[in-house]
This record gives sequence, structure tokens and C-alpha cells, in this order.
Amino acid sequence: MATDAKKRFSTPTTFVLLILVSFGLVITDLSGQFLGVPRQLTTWVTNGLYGGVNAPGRWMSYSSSYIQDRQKLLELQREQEREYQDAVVMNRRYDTLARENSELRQALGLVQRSPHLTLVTAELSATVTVPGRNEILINRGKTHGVLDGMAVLDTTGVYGQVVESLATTSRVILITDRRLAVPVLVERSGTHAVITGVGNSSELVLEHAEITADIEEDDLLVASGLGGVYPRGYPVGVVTSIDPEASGVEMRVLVEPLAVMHRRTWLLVVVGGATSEVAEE
Amino acid sequence: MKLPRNNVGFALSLVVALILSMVELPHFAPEVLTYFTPNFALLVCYYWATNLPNNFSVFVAWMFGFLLDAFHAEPFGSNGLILCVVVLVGLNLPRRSNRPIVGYQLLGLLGLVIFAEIVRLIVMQFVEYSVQGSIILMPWSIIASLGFWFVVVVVLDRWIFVEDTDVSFS
Repeated sequence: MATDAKKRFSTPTTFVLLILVSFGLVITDLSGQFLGVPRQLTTWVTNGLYGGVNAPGRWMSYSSSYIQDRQKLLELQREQEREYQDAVVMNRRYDTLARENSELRQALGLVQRSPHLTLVTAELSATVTVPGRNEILINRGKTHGVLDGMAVLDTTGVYGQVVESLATTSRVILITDRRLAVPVLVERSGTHAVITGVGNSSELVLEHAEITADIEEDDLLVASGLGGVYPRGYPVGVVTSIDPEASGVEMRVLVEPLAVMHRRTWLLVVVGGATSEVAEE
Repeated sequence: MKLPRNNVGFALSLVVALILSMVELPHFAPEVLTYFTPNFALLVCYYWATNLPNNFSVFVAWMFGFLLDAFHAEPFGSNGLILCVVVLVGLNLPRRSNRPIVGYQLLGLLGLVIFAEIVRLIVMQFVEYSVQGSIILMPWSIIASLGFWFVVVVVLDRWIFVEDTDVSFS
């Protein structure tokens, strides 16, 4: 019976009827006039089924994308950390270069402003780390005209003196060393004096200053030019404190050096014209 | 026992074909796979029409086509029209011992797949502004349908129980 029923549904009439109905439906649907409501209903039903059918696939896609995204993020983070480290190093290099550039510009300015001085630019090679010795090595020696006893300046003040000149390097003793004495005069009053180091990079002491000497705090001390080593008038330091000694004859005068000790890379060696006076800078 | 077994086969195969036609490929699948989309409904209907001509009703095929139209948001009647013709061809294939001759079966399938693609193009031309993409993809869909036919045959042959009856319509 069931087979007979199916045979009835597969007669030529059924085919023709269904094909006609199909054509009618297609034309009606394409015209967009009568099948709007059925279309909305079927869309509403099929949307839910679509979601259900594709849920596993979407879940798999989501899971895989989550895992992939996490791996990508971790990779990206590592890459950014590397880039950050590189940037930090580059930044420090730029800072160093900027500082060196600034020093060189200042040195160049000093050379241009002091035509009577013959200066040789020298770079700091090493710092002697022996306690009690404030010494450095520079990359200029006899081949560059640097000889023993020559003055070493930085752009802000007297820095030291060459004590041993080799072929391409020289050993420089700083003005903060106890063994070095620099003849100075008080710029304001013209009082002559001698300052020596105390082993402290931020302090000098004015030796044998009589209590009656015309020296005041904040006085600028410049090289007096005596001895012909340091250019006359070049800044050395500023008086920071004056205390009478217990004897009542002398006073203890502390001076802050104007040269920037241990923080310079570029220095200037006075190879000629030290006896002439430095112009007002 | 024979009829229910075939009926379960009909129902299951049609449902699976419907689901397969709705499944989207996961995003990590190669994009080229989307070109090879077999016409699952056509293949299943053709199989049942050629192998069980007395049990598979053209009305069932038409209703199934109507469902496909609803699910794929295609104009109502378009898939019904295609599947009616599929069943019509399937029932009229030359047979030997109540089974279709394989050569005619494949030839019929090729013609039907091309026919289905052309009908779809014609119908979609009224719906979409451009069917250029569909024309480009048409050969790949035909190749995919022909390739998937062998899978359909292998799977559904496990369910089928051929009755010793004559072809109902010719």
C-alpha cells in the first residue's frame, strides 16, 4: 500500500504539477509581493538551526583563534620587550653622544674665543683608581705636542697638569690631588694665593691665607699665570667657605673647583700661549 | 522490516545532506575548500531516485527542495524545481536487474549537476546584482559534486535494500 501511495506521488501529473508550482513560487518570490511573511518565518526558524548546526565549528574556530591569539600576543610581547631593551640602549647611546657633542661644542667655542692659546683636544682614556691619587690618562702624547708640565683645562675651569707625557698618551694629575698646587688670584681684589687639592673632587683649599687677606665667599679665583703653566685669568674655582684658624693668624678657605671633575670626556691641553692672558669668557 | 530500513535511510540521508549544506567551514580551513561545495541534496535525491525508484517519492524531493530554499534563503521553489527534475531523470535511467547502469547514472549526474548550477544562476541573477562570482565557481562546484558522489554511493549502499520491483515511472 505504501508503495502504491508513493507511486501516486510520482506520476507524470505530479511532476508537472510540482514543476508548475515551483515556477509559480519562484516567480512569486522574486516579485517580492506575496511571500514576505513566510520568508520572515522561515528565516526566523532557520537562523536558529543555522546557529545550532554551526555551533561546534564556531566553537572550534573560537578555541583555535583564542589559542593562536594568545601565542601571537606572547610572541608580540617578547618582541616588544626586545625592542624596548634596544630602545633603552639606543637612548642611552644618544644621551652619551649628546653630552659628548655638547662638550665638544663647548671646547670648540673655547678654542675659537681664545685665539692666543694653542689648544689640543684630548679624550679621556682611563681614570687611575688608586686611592689618594686623582689622576687620569688622556689619548694625546708627545706625538701630538703634549709635553710634561702642560696645563689641562676643561671648558669651565682649570682641570689639571700633565705629569708624564708618553708617545701617544699622557698622565694628568688633577687639581684636586694633594700633590698639585695652582697659583691663583682673587678676581675681585687681585690677591694672590695658591690652592691645592685635598683629595676630594669637589673641594680645594687655599693655602696660607692670612686672616687679613681680601678674600670673601663667592669670590672667583682665576689662574694667576705665575710659573707660566696655567693661562692667566682662566677660572679655577669659587670660594665656598672661610673659617679663621685657631692660631688667629691664618684662615681656612675652601674652594669649589669650576672644572667638572671625573665627568668630562673631552679635555683641552694648553700646548702654547699659556703665559698670555685669557680673554674674558 | 525492509521499508522502515529504507525510510530511515531516506530521512537520515536527507537530514545529513541538509546539515552539510548549512555547515560553514572553520576559519582556519584553506579558503580554496570553499570553492569545492558539492550539491549534497542533489546527490542524495539522485541516489535514492536511481536506486529505490519505487520508494522515493518526487513529492518528498520537492518538499526537501522547499526546505532548502528556506534554509538557504533562495527563492521558494527553485530547489524544488531542480530536485523534481533530478528525480525525473533518476527514475528514467536505463537499468539492469533493477539497478541503474553506472555509466548512464554518471552521465545523468553530470547533466543534472550542470542543470542545477544553471538554474541556480538564472534564479540568482534576479536576486543578486552580479553572478560573475558564481559563474567562476561553477566548474569547481560541479567537480566537487561529481567527486562527492562516490562518497554518497559508498555510504548509502550500506542502508539500501533493493526491492525487486519495476521502475514506477518512465
